[in-house]
Amino acid sequence: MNGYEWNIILQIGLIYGIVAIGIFLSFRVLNFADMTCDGAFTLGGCLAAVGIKLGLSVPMALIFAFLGGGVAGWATACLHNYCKITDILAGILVAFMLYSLNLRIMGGVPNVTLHVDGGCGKILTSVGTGVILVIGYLLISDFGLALRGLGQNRHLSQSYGIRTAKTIATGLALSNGLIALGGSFFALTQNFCDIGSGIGTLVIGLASMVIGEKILPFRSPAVAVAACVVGSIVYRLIIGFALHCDVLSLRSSDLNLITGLLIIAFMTTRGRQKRCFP
Amino acid sequence: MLSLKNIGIVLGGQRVLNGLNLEVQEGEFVVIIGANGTGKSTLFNIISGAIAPTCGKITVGGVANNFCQVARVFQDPRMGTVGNFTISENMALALRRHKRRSLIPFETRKRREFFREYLSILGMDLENRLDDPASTLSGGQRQALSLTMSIIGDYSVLLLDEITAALDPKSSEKVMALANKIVSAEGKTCLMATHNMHHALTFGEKLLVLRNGKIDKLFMKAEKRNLSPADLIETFICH
Repeated sequence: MNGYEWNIILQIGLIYGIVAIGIFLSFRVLNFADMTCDGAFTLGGCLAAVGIKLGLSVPMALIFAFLGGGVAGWATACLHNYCKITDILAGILVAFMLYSLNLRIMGGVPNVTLHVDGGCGKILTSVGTGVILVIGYLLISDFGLALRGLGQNRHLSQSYGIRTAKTIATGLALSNGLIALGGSFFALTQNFCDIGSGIGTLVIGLASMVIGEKILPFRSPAVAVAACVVGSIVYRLIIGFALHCDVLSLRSSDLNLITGLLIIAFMTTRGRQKRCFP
Repeated sequence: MLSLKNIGIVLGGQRVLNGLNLEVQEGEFVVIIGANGTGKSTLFNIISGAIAPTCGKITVGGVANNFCQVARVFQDPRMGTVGNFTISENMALALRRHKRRSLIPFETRKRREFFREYLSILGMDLENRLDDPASTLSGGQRQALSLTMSIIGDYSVLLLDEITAALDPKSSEKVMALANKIVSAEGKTCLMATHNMHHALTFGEKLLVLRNGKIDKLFMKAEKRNLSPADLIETFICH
């Protein structure tokens, strides 16, 4: 692999690291199997792409995408809280509906090309670091403890006065906001947004999270958040090596198979539990 | 302090409580007994605000539906604590009971000192194990932790819902003695449901027998002295 490829691996690794942090918030912290992510990722890309086309600056387009993802997460939370739809189905429904919405945002076409002058590598690095720090801090605050408590024992949390509906809504909005932010960075670095770019986001995010937990099995919330990004970069490295290895004669179409096997391998190896988050 | 007026509730088509009236004075320790299915847990769920009654009025400290002043210890210690949280995290979760949970760190040095102080009341050496997960504690220790968690925030009514039911006899005695010590030291209003007739007679000032969704019998402290566990079982089953 040459320098350019290393650069791409780090860049994509960091982008999906932000996505993995979002998935970590819903799956690990809130213990909420949130399937909204595939739709939220594309939504972020669409909003950023269309925003840039309409003349927004890059930071504004990113904020726009983050807020859009937040609304999607909030919608899932509302379906769960008020319509009493189970967590998985609520997420699937919102992601399903987002497909049509994303097409509408892009003006009825399945993909949009855009161009950002000078790229956005610097913004990506600073936003990525910022996300790790902010979420890491959030999890050691009273509010973060409420999110974790709700994920671990809902009855107890309620009896200690944590407002379930509001807390889940905030958690999911934050989680999907981050996933949409990842999606928008993906669109900006690829100079391209496609309606199918979100497919498999959940699995890649989960893979990153699981790999990160194995590499850095510590209880500290800040480490657990950083582990998502580390896991995401390691995931890209493994995939990169696998596809480069001529002996295996793999094609890029084998990606899903490799990812699936990778998750299974990491999940079945012992050594997690006990010391790990939460 | 606590007043229930004409409380009725229908759960799953069945009338669980039917016109229940109860007045508890400040600082009073009331024990409630009743066979399974007589509505003890439902009554506690109503007093703690977990479920709303079909009819009737609840006031705590003179204010209607003032549930944030009601603290509750669950029957199952696994329910009343978070197993994956450390002791310190459990205490921090409980500390902000019905208060704003803001973005300040939950585990400051000052708070840890405060937790140590509270946990040392238990005499179980938990104050030196703040960073151990609650899942590593024994059932009795976990129930004692749950008890401490419920009194760490502001409260004026404490509900003890069969807190010794999931424990072995020895831990059960220990936890009950601790609960009694805490209740008398704090001087707060306390309601306890139990199936242990010996506890029902030993602890508390008043003894209530719940049957058919109502308070069937009331024994004052003086009357309790003349009762034996066998008499109580008699009133439960034979009438």
